[in-house]
Amino acid sequence: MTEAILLLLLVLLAIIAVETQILRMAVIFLGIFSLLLSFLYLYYGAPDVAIAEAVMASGLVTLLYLTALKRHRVYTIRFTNEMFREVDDRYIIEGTRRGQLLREIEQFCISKELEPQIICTPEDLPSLLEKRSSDLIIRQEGEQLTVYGNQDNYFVDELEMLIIMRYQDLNCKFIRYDEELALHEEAS
Amino acid sequence: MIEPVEKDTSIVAVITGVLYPFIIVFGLYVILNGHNTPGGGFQGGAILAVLFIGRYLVFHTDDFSIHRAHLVEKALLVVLILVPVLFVFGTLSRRYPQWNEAYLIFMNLLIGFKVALGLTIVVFRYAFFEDR
Amino acid sequence: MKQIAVVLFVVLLMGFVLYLSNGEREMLPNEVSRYYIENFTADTGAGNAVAAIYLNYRMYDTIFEALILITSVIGMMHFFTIGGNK
Repeated sequence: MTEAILLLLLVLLAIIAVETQILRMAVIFLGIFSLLLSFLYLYYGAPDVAIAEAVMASGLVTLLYLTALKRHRVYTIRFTNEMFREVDDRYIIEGTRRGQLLREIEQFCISKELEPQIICTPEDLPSLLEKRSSDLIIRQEGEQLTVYGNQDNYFVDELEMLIIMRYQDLNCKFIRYDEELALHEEAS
Repeated sequence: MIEPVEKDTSIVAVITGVLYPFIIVFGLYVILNGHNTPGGGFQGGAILAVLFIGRYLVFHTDDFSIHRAHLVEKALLVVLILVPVLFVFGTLSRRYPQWNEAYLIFMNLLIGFKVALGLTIVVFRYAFFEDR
Repeated sequence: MKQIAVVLFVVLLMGFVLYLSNGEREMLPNEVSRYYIENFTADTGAGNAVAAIYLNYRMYDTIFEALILITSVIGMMHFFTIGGNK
């Protein structure tokens, strides 16, 4: 019985890991898969292999995959607002239309084979611009949404089109910024 | 998808500090008892490698001399080839059977340290590699 | 269409392999493993048969595994130079 449940879960997790669109979730599913596989080794009476599997495949390989994802095609989106110390996750999810904008950006990233990473940051805007580590910064002041796109990124044009065309009702503005000069002329 | 507020969390740092001695003791336990209980050099070495990697995850420092670790690892490889060549492939194993257990423990220790250093180097190199 | 063909092929191949191996238990004529299980403590002084095998009977395996690890580490050292790829 235990064996059957474990084997079925393995197949299920493998399929989920292949079919998931967001790569980071796929990596996590792969880690769970390895952990279950190590349980199965233990069940079959091979504790040596189980220890090796648990440490290597479930720990180190997951870490290496996550590092690789972070190194390469991550599209970092930082979300801040005027009371930048009080922002939290709930804030994004509750505003339905704003949440839709974030979902759309996420879908856009997936279609370009990028890995979207949305961070709600408690930092101020100038320090964020200075750090230059984010590709897109979304800032909210009351009803005004301002999107700062990093000029170095190739997809900034398409994203600007997408946001300006589809979200006119949201009162949002798109500003590009350079890497060298942190913040300069504004173009709506 | 949506990550929590970006900050250096003190929870991870404190827990890693608490786990530190336990990781060392558990890794050495798995290595030293490898000839009697499940486990061995490879598994214990991987557990010991978690030590340095956890330290990297918390502090993001690279004050760990990778070249020196690589040198030590190469030296360990030479010893790891020489000892069995002298002991198992020669006649010492049959002439002195009372050394067998000491040989097993010594080999497990060598393999453990070598694997720990190797995995640490791989992860550090990969983590600190600067792209673009 | 191509995808359906691939799926069909994989399913048929799986069925064929399962049909071939149906009813057979993998029992190799293994005097060697019986010998190891009976004599490993007397031969090597180990309490764990796995340790006895990878540190004594099959020592070459362990040596070449260590060589694989150091080869991968050398590859990492060679390709991933820190700060040199700007």
